[in-house]
Amino acid sequence: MSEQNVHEMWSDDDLDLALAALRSDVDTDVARLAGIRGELFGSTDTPAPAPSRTWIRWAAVAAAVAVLVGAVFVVLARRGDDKPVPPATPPAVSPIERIKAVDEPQRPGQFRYVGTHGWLLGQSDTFAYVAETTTTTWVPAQERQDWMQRRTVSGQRKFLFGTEADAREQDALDMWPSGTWHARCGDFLLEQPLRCTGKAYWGEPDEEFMDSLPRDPQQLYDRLSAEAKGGQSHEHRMFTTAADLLRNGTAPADLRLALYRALAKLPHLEVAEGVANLDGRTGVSLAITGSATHEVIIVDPATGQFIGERVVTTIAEAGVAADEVIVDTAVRYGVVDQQGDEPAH
Amino acid sequence: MSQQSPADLPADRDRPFLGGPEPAVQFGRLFDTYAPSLHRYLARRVGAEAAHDLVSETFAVALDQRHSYDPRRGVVRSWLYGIATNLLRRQVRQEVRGLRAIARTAGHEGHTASHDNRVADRVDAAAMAARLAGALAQLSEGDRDVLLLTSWAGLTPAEVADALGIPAGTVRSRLHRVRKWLRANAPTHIEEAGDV
Repeated sequence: MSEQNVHEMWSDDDLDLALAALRSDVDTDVARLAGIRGELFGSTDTPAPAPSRTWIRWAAVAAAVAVLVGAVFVVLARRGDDKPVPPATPPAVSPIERIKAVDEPQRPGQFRYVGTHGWLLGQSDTFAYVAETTTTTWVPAQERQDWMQRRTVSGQRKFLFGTEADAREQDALDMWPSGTWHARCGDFLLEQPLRCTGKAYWGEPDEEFMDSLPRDPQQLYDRLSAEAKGGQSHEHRMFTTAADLLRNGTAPADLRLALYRALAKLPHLEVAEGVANLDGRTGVSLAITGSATHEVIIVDPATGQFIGERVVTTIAEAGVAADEVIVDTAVRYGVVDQQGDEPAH
Repeated sequence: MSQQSPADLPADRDRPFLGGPEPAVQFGRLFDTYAPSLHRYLARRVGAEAAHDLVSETFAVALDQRHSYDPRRGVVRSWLYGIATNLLRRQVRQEVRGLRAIARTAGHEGHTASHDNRVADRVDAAAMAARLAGALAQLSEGDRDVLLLTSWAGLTPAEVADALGIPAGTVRSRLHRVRKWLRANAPTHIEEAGDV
Protein backbone atom coordinates (compact mmCIF):
# COMPACT_ATOMS: atom_id res chain seq x y z
CA MET A 1 0.00 0.00 0.00
CA SER A 2 1.32 3.42 -0.88
CA GLU A 3 2.26 5.84 1.76
CA GLN A 4 -0.63 8.18 1.08
CA ASN A 5 -3.13 5.45 1.74
CA VAL A 6 -1.99 4.77 5.23
CA HIS A 7 -3.33 7.96 6.73
CA GLU A 8 -5.62 9.41 4.10
CA MET A 9 -9.30 8.83 4.33
CA TRP A 10 -12.23 9.85 2.15
CA SER A 11 -14.70 12.37 3.39
CA ASP A 12 -18.44 11.71 3.23
CA ASP A 13 -18.59 14.15 0.33
CA ASP A 14 -15.90 12.23 -1.51
CA LEU A 15 -17.83 9.05 -1.05
CA ASP A 16 -21.09 10.56 -2.25
CA LEU A 17 -19.36 12.13 -5.24
CA ALA A 18 -17.80 8.83 -6.23
CA LEU A 19 -21.05 6.92 -5.71
CA ALA A 20 -22.94 9.40 -7.84
CA ALA A 21 -20.40 9.15 -10.62
CA LEU A 22 -19.96 5.39 -10.66
CA ARG A 23 -21.76 3.89 -13.64
CA SER A 24 -23.84 7.03 -13.98
CA ASP A 25 -23.70 6.76 -17.75
CA VAL A 26 -26.02 3.78 -18.11
CA ASP A 27 -28.74 4.05 -20.72
CA THR A 28 -32.30 2.98 -20.36
CA ASP A 29 -33.69 1.86 -23.68
CA VAL A 30 -37.22 3.22 -23.57
CA ALA A 31 -38.34 1.11 -26.51
CA ARG A 32 -37.10 -2.05 -24.81
CA LEU A 33 -39.02 -1.17 -21.68
CA ALA A 34 -42.14 -0.48 -23.72
CA GLY A 35 -41.72 -3.90 -25.27
CA ILE A 36 -41.46 -5.55 -21.88
CA ARG A 37 -44.53 -3.70 -20.71
CA GLY A 38 -46.44 -4.79 -23.77
CA GLU A 39 -45.53 -8.42 -23.26
CA LEU A 40 -46.48 -8.41 -19.61
CA PHE A 41 -49.42 -6.06 -19.35
CA GLY A 42 -50.37 -4.86 -22.80
CA SER A 43 -49.12 -1.69 -24.39
CA THR A 44 -50.03 1.77 -23.22
CA ASP A 45 -51.81 2.45 -26.50
CA THR A 46 -54.29 -0.37 -26.32
CA PRO A 47 -56.35 -1.60 -23.41
CA ALA A 48 -54.63 -4.32 -21.42
CA PRO A 49 -55.82 -7.80 -22.21
CA ALA A 50 -58.78 -8.51 -20.01
CA PRO A 51 -58.30 -11.69 -18.04
CA SER A 52 -60.98 -14.21 -18.75
CA ARG A 53 -62.93 -14.66 -15.64
CA THR A 54 -66.29 -15.37 -14.27
CA TRP A 55 -66.40 -15.05 -10.53
CA ILE A 56 -63.36 -12.86 -10.34
CA ARG A 57 -65.46 -9.94 -11.48
CA TRP A 58 -67.30 -10.12 -8.22
CA ALA A 59 -64.26 -8.75 -6.56
CA ALA A 60 -65.74 -5.45 -7.58
CA VAL A 61 -69.14 -5.98 -6.08
CA ALA A 62 -70.45 -3.44 -3.65
CA ALA A 63 -67.59 -1.04 -3.94
CA ALA A 64 -66.58 1.56 -6.42
CA VAL A 65 -63.24 -0.15 -6.40
CA ALA A 66 -62.45 -3.72 -5.53
CA VAL A 67 -60.08 -4.08 -2.66
CA LEU A 68 -58.49 -7.39 -2.00
CA VAL A 69 -55.36 -8.32 -0.22
CA GLY A 70 -53.89 -11.49 1.07
CA ALA A 71 -55.01 -13.99 -1.50
CA VAL A 72 -55.70 -14.30 -5.14
CA PHE A 73 -58.97 -14.84 -6.83
CA VAL A 74 -59.21 -17.93 -8.87
CA VAL A 75 -59.49 -17.09 -12.51
CA LEU A 76 -61.79 -19.55 -14.12
CA ALA A 77 -61.11 -20.71 -17.60
CA ARG A 78 -63.10 -19.02 -20.26
CA ARG A 79 -65.88 -21.11 -21.61
CA GLY A 80 -67.67 -21.14 -24.88
CA ASP A 81 -70.95 -19.42 -25.33
CA ASP A 82 -73.99 -20.67 -23.55
CA LYS A 83 -75.59 -23.73 -24.95
CA PRO A 84 -78.53 -22.69 -27.07
CA VAL A 85 -81.61 -22.46 -24.93
CA PRO A 86 -84.96 -21.12 -26.01
CA PRO A 87 -85.45 -17.43 -25.30
CA ALA A 88 -87.28 -16.70 -22.09
CA THR A 89 -90.95 -16.16 -22.77
CA PRO A 90 -91.65 -12.47 -22.29
CA PRO A 91 -94.63 -11.59 -20.11
CA ALA A 92 -97.43 -9.70 -21.81
CA VAL A 93 -96.15 -6.40 -20.40
CA SER A 94 -92.66 -6.69 -19.09
CA PRO A 95 -92.19 -5.39 -15.55
CA ILE A 96 -89.21 -3.56 -17.00
CA GLU A 97 -91.61 -1.34 -18.93
CA ARG A 98 -93.21 -0.34 -15.65
CA ILE A 99 -89.98 0.71 -14.00
CA LYS A 100 -89.85 4.45 -13.33
CA ALA A 101 -86.58 6.20 -12.75
CA VAL A 102 -86.20 9.25 -10.57
CA ASP A 103 -83.34 10.79 -8.62
CA GLU A 104 -83.72 12.46 -5.26
CA PRO A 105 -82.71 16.12 -5.68
CA GLN A 106 -79.19 16.94 -4.47
CA ARG A 107 -78.31 20.55 -3.72
CA PRO A 108 -74.77 21.92 -4.00
CA GLY A 109 -72.89 20.95 -0.85
CA GLN A 110 -75.01 17.89 -0.26
CA PHE A 111 -73.86 14.31 -0.73
CA ARG A 112 -75.49 11.39 -2.43
CA TYR A 113 -75.36 8.39 -0.11
CA VAL A 114 -74.81 4.92 -1.57
CA GLY A 115 -74.67 2.24 1.11
CA THR A 116 -74.09 -1.39 0.19
CA HIS A 117 -74.51 -4.16 2.70
CA GLY A 118 -73.26 -7.40 1.28
CA TRP A 119 -71.70 -10.80 1.48
CA LEU A 120 -68.75 -10.87 -0.85
CA LEU A 121 -66.60 -13.71 -2.07
CA GLY A 122 -62.98 -14.16 -1.08
CA GLN A 123 -61.28 -17.14 -2.60
CA SER A 124 -58.01 -18.85 -3.36
CA ASP A 125 -57.10 -22.36 -4.37
CA THR A 126 -57.46 -23.70 -0.83
CA PHE A 127 -60.54 -21.90 0.46
CA ALA A 128 -63.53 -19.80 -0.47
CA TYR A 129 -65.67 -17.77 1.83
CA VAL A 130 -68.18 -14.98 1.77
CA ALA A 131 -67.58 -12.14 4.20
CA GLU A 132 -70.08 -9.59 5.43
CA THR A 133 -69.13 -6.04 4.54
CA THR A 134 -70.72 -2.62 4.47
CA THR A 135 -69.39 -0.11 1.99
CA THR A 136 -70.75 3.40 1.97
CA THR A 137 -69.89 6.16 -0.46
CA TRP A 138 -70.72 9.84 -0.06
CA VAL A 139 -70.78 11.40 -3.51
CA PRO A 140 -70.48 15.20 -3.80
CA ALA A 141 -72.75 17.25 -6.03
CA GLN A 142 -69.84 17.92 -8.35
CA GLU A 143 -67.73 14.89 -9.05
CA ARG A 144 -64.41 16.74 -8.89
CA GLN A 145 -65.09 17.59 -5.27
CA ASP A 146 -64.13 15.31 -2.41
CA TRP A 147 -65.77 11.90 -2.20
CA MET A 148 -65.62 9.70 0.87
CA GLN A 149 -65.89 5.96 1.13
CA ARG A 150 -65.98 3.88 4.26
CA ARG A 151 -65.88 0.13 4.55
CA THR A 152 -66.55 -1.89 7.65
CA VAL A 153 -66.39 -5.64 7.97
CA SER A 154 -68.42 -7.49 10.55
CA GLY A 155 -65.98 -10.36 10.87
CA GLN A 156 -68.76 -12.76 9.88
CA ARG A 157 -67.65 -15.28 7.31
CA LYS A 158 -69.26 -18.32 5.76
CA PHE A 159 -66.85 -20.84 4.35
CA LEU A 160 -67.97 -22.45 1.12
CA PHE A 161 -64.82 -24.51 0.83
CA GLY A 162 -61.78 -24.94 3.06
CA THR A 163 -61.55 -23.63 6.61
CA GLU A 164 -60.66 -20.51 8.51
CA ALA A 165 -57.25 -22.08 9.19
CA ASP A 166 -56.66 -22.41 5.46
CA ALA A 167 -57.43 -18.75 4.93
CA ARG A 168 -55.35 -17.69 7.91
CA GLU A 169 -52.41 -19.64 6.57
CA GLN A 170 -52.49 -17.42 3.49
CA ASP A 171 -53.00 -14.31 5.58
CA ALA A 172 -56.32 -13.96 3.78
CA LEU A 173 -58.90 -13.79 6.52
CA ASP A 174 -59.45 -10.13 5.81
CA MET A 175 -59.58 -9.83 2.08
CA TRP A 176 -61.84 -6.83 2.45
CA PRO A 177 -59.97 -4.32 4.59
CA SER A 178 -61.84 -1.73 6.61
CA GLY A 179 -61.07 1.91 6.24
CA THR A 180 -62.12 5.37 5.24
CA TRP A 181 -60.85 6.87 2.06
CA HIS A 182 -61.15 10.24 0.38
CA ALA A 183 -60.70 11.02 -3.29
CA ARG A 184 -61.97 13.36 -5.91
CA CYS A 185 -64.02 11.72 -8.63
CA GLY A 186 -64.34 8.58 -6.50
CA ASP A 187 -60.95 7.17 -7.52
CA PHE A 188 -60.33 5.89 -4.04
CA LEU A 189 -57.82 3.14 -4.31
CA LEU A 190 -56.35 3.41 -7.72
CA GLU A 191 -52.72 4.27 -8.12
CA GLN A 192 -53.59 6.48 -11.01
CA PRO A 193 -57.08 7.86 -11.38
CA LEU A 194 -59.31 6.65 -14.17
CA ARG A 195 -62.25 8.94 -13.63
CA CYS A 196 -62.05 12.56 -14.67
CA THR A 197 -59.05 11.67 -16.81
CA GLY A 198 -60.76 10.50 -19.98
CA LYS A 199 -60.04 6.88 -19.02
CA ALA A 200 -63.33 6.10 -17.33
CA TYR A 201 -65.18 3.00 -18.47
CA TRP A 202 -68.18 0.89 -17.45
CA GLY A 203 -66.59 -0.35 -14.25
CA GLU A 204 -65.19 3.07 -13.26
CA PRO A 205 -67.62 5.50 -14.81
CA ASP A 206 -67.48 9.26 -14.48
CA GLU A 207 -69.98 11.86 -15.61
CA GLU A 208 -68.29 12.38 -18.95
CA PHE A 209 -68.42 8.65 -19.71
CA MET A 210 -72.03 8.31 -18.61
CA ASP A 211 -73.00 11.38 -20.62
CA SER A 212 -71.47 9.72 -23.67
CA LEU A 213 -73.74 6.66 -23.42
CA PRO A 214 -76.88 6.73 -25.58
CA ARG A 215 -80.27 6.94 -23.86
CA ASP A 216 -81.97 5.17 -26.69
CA PRO A 217 -82.28 1.52 -25.55
CA GLN A 218 -81.38 0.03 -28.93
CA GLN A 219 -78.35 2.28 -29.33
CA LEU A 220 -77.28 1.53 -25.79
CA TYR A 221 -77.74 -2.19 -26.44
CA ASP A 222 -75.51 -1.87 -29.50
CA ARG A 223 -72.87 0.00 -27.51
CA LEU A 224 -72.95 -2.64 -24.77
CA SER A 225 -72.70 -5.36 -27.36
CA ALA A 226 -69.70 -3.70 -28.97
CA GLU A 227 -67.83 -3.12 -25.72
CA ALA A 228 -68.65 -6.28 -23.77
CA LYS A 229 -66.00 -8.86 -24.55
CA GLY A 230 -65.43 -12.28 -23.08
CA GLY A 231 -67.32 -13.52 -20.06
CA GLN A 232 -69.26 -16.73 -19.86
CA SER A 233 -71.12 -15.70 -23.01
CA HIS A 234 -71.60 -12.50 -24.88
CA GLU A 235 -75.02 -12.00 -23.33
CA HIS A 236 -73.62 -12.72 -19.90
CA ARG A 237 -70.87 -10.20 -20.41
CA MET A 238 -73.28 -7.55 -21.67
CA PHE A 239 -75.37 -8.08 -18.57
CA THR A 240 -72.44 -7.94 -16.16
CA THR A 241 -70.96 -4.91 -17.92
CA ALA A 242 -74.20 -3.04 -17.32
CA ALA A 243 -74.22 -4.28 -13.72
CA ASP A 244 -70.67 -3.00 -13.25
CA LEU A 245 -71.86 0.50 -14.07
CA LEU A 246 -75.07 0.30 -12.05
CA ARG A 247 -73.20 -1.00 -8.99
CA ASN A 248 -71.38 2.32 -8.66
CA GLY A 249 -74.66 3.93 -7.71
CA THR A 250 -73.90 7.11 -9.63
CA ALA A 251 -75.81 6.51 -12.88
CA PRO A 252 -78.47 9.17 -13.43
CA ALA A 253 -82.11 8.15 -13.72
CA ASP A 254 -82.36 8.40 -17.51
CA LEU A 255 -79.30 6.24 -18.00
CA ARG A 256 -80.53 3.59 -15.55
CA LEU A 257 -83.83 3.38 -17.34
CA ALA A 258 -82.12 3.09 -20.71
CA LEU A 259 -79.87 0.33 -19.35
CA TYR A 260 -82.81 -1.74 -18.07
CA ARG A 261 -84.57 -1.34 -21.39
CA ALA A 262 -81.42 -2.27 -23.26
CA LEU A 263 -81.00 -5.38 -21.10
CA ALA A 264 -84.64 -6.25 -21.83
CA LYS A 265 -83.51 -6.91 -25.40
CA LEU A 266 -81.20 -9.75 -24.33
CA PRO A 267 -82.73 -12.91 -25.76
CA HIS A 268 -82.32 -14.91 -22.53
CA LEU A 269 -83.00 -12.26 -19.92
CA GLU A 270 -85.20 -13.53 -17.08
CA VAL A 271 -87.47 -10.98 -15.44
CA ALA A 272 -89.44 -11.42 -12.23
CA GLU A 273 -91.28 -9.25 -9.74
CA GLY A 274 -91.27 -9.29 -5.96
CA VAL A 275 -87.69 -10.53 -5.64
CA ALA A 276 -86.09 -9.63 -2.30
CA ASN A 277 -82.60 -8.24 -1.87
CA LEU A 278 -80.33 -9.22 1.02
CA ASP A 279 -82.17 -6.95 3.42
CA GLY A 280 -85.64 -8.06 2.35
CA ARG A 281 -86.57 -5.10 0.15
CA THR A 282 -88.29 -6.30 -3.00
CA GLY A 283 -88.12 -5.18 -6.58
CA VAL A 284 -88.03 -6.26 -10.19
CA SER A 285 -85.25 -8.71 -10.89
CA LEU A 286 -83.32 -8.98 -14.14
CA ALA A 287 -81.24 -12.12 -14.43
CA ILE A 288 -79.05 -14.00 -16.82
CA THR A 289 -77.63 -17.48 -16.55
CA GLY A 290 -74.10 -18.00 -17.79
CA SER A 291 -72.19 -21.24 -17.97
CA ALA A 292 -70.97 -21.01 -14.37
CA THR A 293 -73.17 -18.52 -12.56
CA HIS A 294 -76.70 -17.20 -12.41
CA GLU A 295 -76.62 -13.42 -11.98
CA VAL A 296 -79.44 -11.30 -10.69
CA ILE A 297 -79.83 -7.57 -10.27
CA ILE A 298 -82.77 -6.16 -8.36
CA VAL A 299 -84.34 -2.82 -9.28
CA ASP A 300 -86.76 -0.69 -7.28
CA PRO A 301 -89.58 -0.14 -9.80
CA ALA A 302 -90.56 3.16 -8.17
CA THR A 303 -87.15 4.84 -8.52
CA GLY A 304 -85.22 2.69 -10.95
CA GLN A 305 -82.49 2.33 -8.37
CA PHE A 306 -80.27 -0.71 -8.36
CA ILE A 307 -81.05 -2.07 -4.90
CA GLY A 308 -79.05 -5.25 -4.86
CA GLU A 309 -77.62 -8.21 -6.67
CA ARG A 310 -77.08 -11.89 -6.18
CA VAL A 311 -74.79 -14.42 -7.83
CA VAL A 312 -75.38 -18.13 -7.52
CA THR A 313 -73.09 -20.81 -8.84
CA THR A 314 -74.65 -23.15 -11.37
CA ILE A 315 -71.84 -25.67 -11.45
CA ALA A 316 -69.28 -26.95 -8.96
CA GLU A 317 -65.96 -25.29 -9.65
CA ALA A 318 -62.79 -24.23 -7.87
CA GLY A 319 -63.89 -26.11 -4.77
CA VAL A 320 -67.25 -24.36 -4.55
CA ALA A 321 -70.37 -26.46 -5.05
CA ALA A 322 -73.24 -25.60 -7.37
CA ASP A 323 -76.16 -23.56 -6.02
CA GLU A 324 -74.00 -21.58 -3.60
CA VAL A 325 -74.69 -17.87 -3.19
CA ILE A 326 -71.33 -16.20 -3.71
CA VAL A 327 -72.50 -12.58 -3.80
CA ASP A 328 -75.55 -11.12 -2.10
CA THR A 329 -76.11 -7.41 -1.53
CA ALA A 330 -78.61 -4.73 -0.62
CA VAL A 331 -78.07 -1.07 -1.57
CA ARG A 332 -79.63 1.98 0.09
CA TYR A 333 -79.60 5.51 -1.27
CA GLY A 334 -80.22 8.94 0.10
CA VAL A 335 -79.08 12.55 0.07
CA VAL A 336 -77.37 13.91 3.18
CA ASP A 337 -75.79 17.18 4.24
CA GLN A 338 -72.43 15.86 5.38
CA GLN A 339 -70.06 13.03 4.64
CA GLY A 340 -70.58 10.38 7.28
CA ASP A 341 -74.29 11.14 7.67
CA GLU A 342 -76.87 8.42 7.25
CA PRO A 343 -80.11 9.11 5.39
CA ALA A 344 -83.18 9.44 7.57
CA HIS A 345 -85.28 6.86 5.76
CA MET B 1 -65.28 4.08 12.53
CA SER B 2 -62.81 6.83 13.08
CA GLN B 3 -60.63 8.23 10.37
CA GLN B 4 -57.44 6.27 10.07
CA SER B 5 -54.10 7.86 10.58
CA PRO B 6 -51.93 8.23 7.48
CA ALA B 7 -49.67 5.44 8.67
CA ASP B 8 -52.61 3.09 8.82
CA LEU B 9 -54.24 4.25 5.64
CA PRO B 10 -54.21 1.08 3.64
CA ALA B 11 -53.98 2.47 0.16
CA ASP B 12 -52.89 5.49 -1.77
CA ARG B 13 -50.75 6.21 -4.76
CA ASP B 14 -47.65 4.80 -3.09
CA ARG B 15 -49.52 1.95 -1.47
CA PRO B 16 -51.98 0.70 -4.04
CA PHE B 17 -54.08 -2.38 -3.61
CA LEU B 18 -52.90 -4.82 -6.20
CA GLY B 19 -55.59 -7.43 -5.84
CA GLY B 20 -58.14 -5.56 -7.88
CA PRO B 21 -60.10 -6.94 -10.77
CA GLU B 22 -57.92 -5.51 -13.53
CA PRO B 23 -54.39 -6.54 -12.57
CA ALA B 24 -52.97 -5.99 -16.04
CA VAL B 25 -54.23 -2.43 -16.08
CA GLN B 26 -52.95 -1.71 -12.61
CA PHE B 27 -49.59 -3.35 -13.16
CA GLY B 28 -49.25 -1.52 -16.44
CA ARG B 29 -49.45 1.72 -14.53
CA LEU B 30 -47.07 0.41 -11.91
CA PHE B 31 -44.64 -0.45 -14.67
CA ASP B 32 -44.89 3.02 -16.20
CA THR B 33 -44.19 4.58 -12.84
CA TYR B 34 -41.36 2.43 -11.56
CA ALA B 35 -39.74 0.49 -14.41
CA PRO B 36 -37.51 3.29 -15.76
CA SER B 37 -35.90 4.07 -12.40
CA LEU B 38 -35.71 0.39 -11.49
CA HIS B 39 -33.99 -0.31 -14.79
CA ARG B 40 -31.48 2.44 -14.23
CA TYR B 41 -30.69 1.13 -10.76
CA LEU B 42 -30.25 -2.43 -11.96
CA ALA B 43 -28.24 -1.31 -15.00
CA ARG B 44 -25.80 0.46 -12.72
CA ARG B 45 -25.38 -2.76 -10.83
CA VAL B 46 -25.19 -5.39 -13.56
CA GLY B 47 -25.32 -3.59 -16.90
CA ALA B 48 -28.17 -2.45 -19.12
CA GLU B 49 -28.76 -5.73 -20.88
CA ALA B 50 -29.09 -7.86 -17.77
CA ALA B 51 -31.17 -5.10 -16.22
CA HIS B 52 -33.80 -5.40 -18.94
CA ASP B 53 -34.24 -9.05 -18.10
CA LEU B 54 -34.35 -8.30 -14.39
CA VAL B 55 -36.99 -5.61 -14.82
CA SER B 56 -39.10 -8.00 -16.84
CA GLU B 57 -38.68 -10.75 -14.24
CA THR B 58 -39.36 -8.37 -11.37
CA PHE B 59 -42.72 -7.32 -12.75
CA ALA B 60 -43.65 -10.85 -13.75
CA VAL B 61 -42.91 -12.03 -10.20
CA ALA B 62 -44.77 -9.04 -8.77
CA LEU B 63 -47.86 -9.83 -10.82
CA ASP B 64 -47.69 -13.45 -9.84
CA GLN B 65 -47.22 -12.64 -6.16
CA ARG B 66 -49.45 -9.59 -5.95
CA HIS B 67 -51.35 -11.16 -3.08
CA SER B 68 -48.17 -10.98 -1.02
CA TYR B 69 -48.03 -7.18 -1.20
CA ASP B 70 -49.69 -5.64 1.81
CA PRO B 71 -50.02 -1.87 1.45
CA ARG B 72 -50.24 -1.54 5.21
CA ARG B 73 -46.69 -2.78 5.53
CA GLY B 74 -44.85 -0.63 3.06
CA VAL B 75 -44.84 1.37 -0.13
CA VAL B 76 -45.03 -0.53 -3.37
CA ARG B 77 -41.63 0.77 -4.47
CA SER B 78 -39.94 -1.06 -1.60
CA TRP B 79 -41.75 -4.23 -2.49
CA LEU B 80 -40.63 -4.02 -6.13
CA TYR B 81 -37.02 -3.27 -5.19
CA GLY B 82 -37.16 -6.16 -2.74
CA ILE B 83 -38.18 -8.53 -5.51
CA ALA B 84 -35.50 -7.11 -7.79
CA THR B 85 -32.87 -7.48 -5.06
CA ASN B 86 -33.70 -11.15 -4.67
CA LEU B 87 -33.41 -11.68 -8.41
CA LEU B 88 -30.15 -9.75 -8.46
CA ARG B 89 -28.61 -12.29 -6.08
CA ARG B 90 -28.13 -14.64 -8.99
CA GLN B 91 -25.90 -12.11 -10.67
CA VAL B 92 -23.56 -11.23 -7.85
CA ARG B 93 -20.54 -12.65 -9.63
CA GLN B 94 -21.33 -10.64 -12.73
CA GLU B 95 -21.67 -7.52 -10.63
CA VAL B 96 -18.39 -8.09 -8.84
CA ARG B 97 -16.58 -8.80 -12.11
CA GLY B 98 -17.95 -5.55 -13.50
CA LEU B 99 -16.80 -3.55 -10.48
CA ARG B 100 -13.34 -5.05 -10.65
CA ALA B 101 -13.12 -4.24 -14.33
CA ILE B 102 -13.93 -0.62 -13.55
CA ALA B 103 -11.42 -0.64 -10.70
CA ARG B 104 -8.71 -1.72 -13.12
CA THR B 105 -9.33 1.37 -15.25
CA ALA B 106 -8.36 3.49 -12.24
CA GLY B 107 -4.70 3.10 -13.09
CA HIS B 108 -5.01 4.62 -16.53
CA GLU B 109 -5.92 8.18 -15.88
CA GLY B 110 -2.63 9.70 -16.88
CA HIS B 111 -0.03 11.20 -14.65
CA THR B 112 0.61 14.70 -15.78
CA ALA B 113 1.54 17.31 -13.21
CA SER B 114 2.43 14.69 -10.70
CA HIS B 115 2.55 16.99 -7.73
CA ASP B 116 -1.02 18.04 -8.46
CA ASN B 117 -2.36 14.58 -8.90
CA ARG B 118 -4.12 14.42 -5.60
CA VAL B 119 -5.90 17.71 -6.21
CA ALA B 120 -6.82 16.72 -9.73
CA ASP B 121 -8.01 13.33 -8.58
CA ARG B 122 -10.24 14.77 -5.93
CA VAL B 123 -12.15 16.77 -8.44
CA ASP B 124 -12.22 14.03 -10.96
CA ALA B 125 -15.35 12.18 -9.97
CA ALA B 126 -14.90 9.54 -12.60
CA ALA B 127 -11.50 8.67 -11.31
CA MET B 128 -12.80 8.47 -7.79
CA ALA B 129 -15.67 6.30 -8.93
CA ALA B 130 -13.20 3.91 -10.45
CA ARG B 131 -11.30 3.70 -7.18
CA LEU B 132 -14.50 3.18 -5.26
CA ALA B 133 -15.49 0.30 -7.52
CA GLY B 134 -12.75 -1.95 -6.19
CA ALA B 135 -13.84 -1.32 -2.63
CA LEU B 136 -17.49 -1.91 -3.48
CA ALA B 137 -16.53 -5.26 -4.96
CA GLN B 138 -15.20 -6.28 -1.55
CA LEU B 139 -18.47 -5.61 0.28
CA SER B 140 -20.84 -8.39 1.15
CA GLU B 141 -23.97 -8.56 -0.98
CA GLY B 142 -26.14 -7.40 1.87
CA ASP B 143 -23.93 -4.40 2.59
CA ARG B 144 -23.83 -3.46 -1.07
CA ASP B 145 -27.62 -3.72 -1.28
CA VAL B 146 -28.10 -1.37 1.66
CA LEU B 147 -25.63 1.16 0.31
CA LEU B 148 -26.81 1.17 -3.29
CA LEU B 149 -30.54 0.96 -2.58
CA THR B 150 -29.96 4.12 -0.59
CA SER B 151 -27.51 5.90 -2.83
CA TRP B 152 -28.57 4.80 -6.30
CA ALA B 153 -32.23 3.86 -5.91
CA GLY B 154 -32.87 6.70 -3.51
CA LEU B 155 -34.78 4.61 -1.00
CA THR B 156 -35.11 5.81 2.57
CA PRO B 157 -33.74 3.58 5.34
CA ALA B 158 -37.31 2.55 6.15
CA GLU B 159 -37.93 1.63 2.52
CA VAL B 160 -34.66 -0.29 2.34
CA ALA B 161 -35.72 -2.12 5.49
CA ASP B 162 -39.04 -3.06 3.87
CA ALA B 163 -37.31 -4.13 0.68
CA LEU B 164 -34.80 -6.36 2.46
CA GLY B 165 -37.06 -7.52 5.25
CA ILE B 166 -34.79 -6.28 8.02
CA PRO B 167 -35.35 -3.71 10.77
CA ALA B 168 -34.86 -0.05 9.87
CA GLY B 169 -32.39 0.30 12.73
CA THR B 170 -30.27 -2.42 11.20
CA VAL B 171 -30.29 -0.57 7.90
CA ARG B 172 -29.10 2.64 9.52
CA SER B 173 -26.32 0.99 11.49
CA ARG B 174 -25.24 -1.07 8.52
CA LEU B 175 -25.20 1.99 6.30
CA HIS B 176 -23.08 3.85 8.83
CA ARG B 177 -20.62 0.97 9.12
CA VAL B 178 -20.35 0.44 5.36
CA ARG B 179 -19.77 4.10 4.63
CA LYS B 180 -17.12 4.30 7.31
CA TRP B 181 -15.39 1.24 5.94
CA LEU B 182 -15.46 2.58 2.40
CA ARG B 183 -14.10 5.95 3.43
CA ALA B 184 -11.22 4.20 5.16
CA ASN B 185 -10.57 1.58 2.53
CA ALA B 186 -11.31 3.13 -0.84
CA PRO B 187 -7.90 4.26 -2.06
CA THR B 188 -7.31 7.98 -1.89
CA HIS B 189 -4.55 7.56 -4.41
CA ILE B 190 -4.02 5.00 -7.06
CA GLU B 191 -2.09 2.02 -5.89
CA GLU B 192 0.17 1.56 -8.78
CA ALA B 193 2.61 -1.17 -8.18
CA GLY B 194 3.82 -0.83 -11.74
CA ASP B 195 4.54 2.84 -11.20
CA VAL B 196 7.04 2.42 -8.48
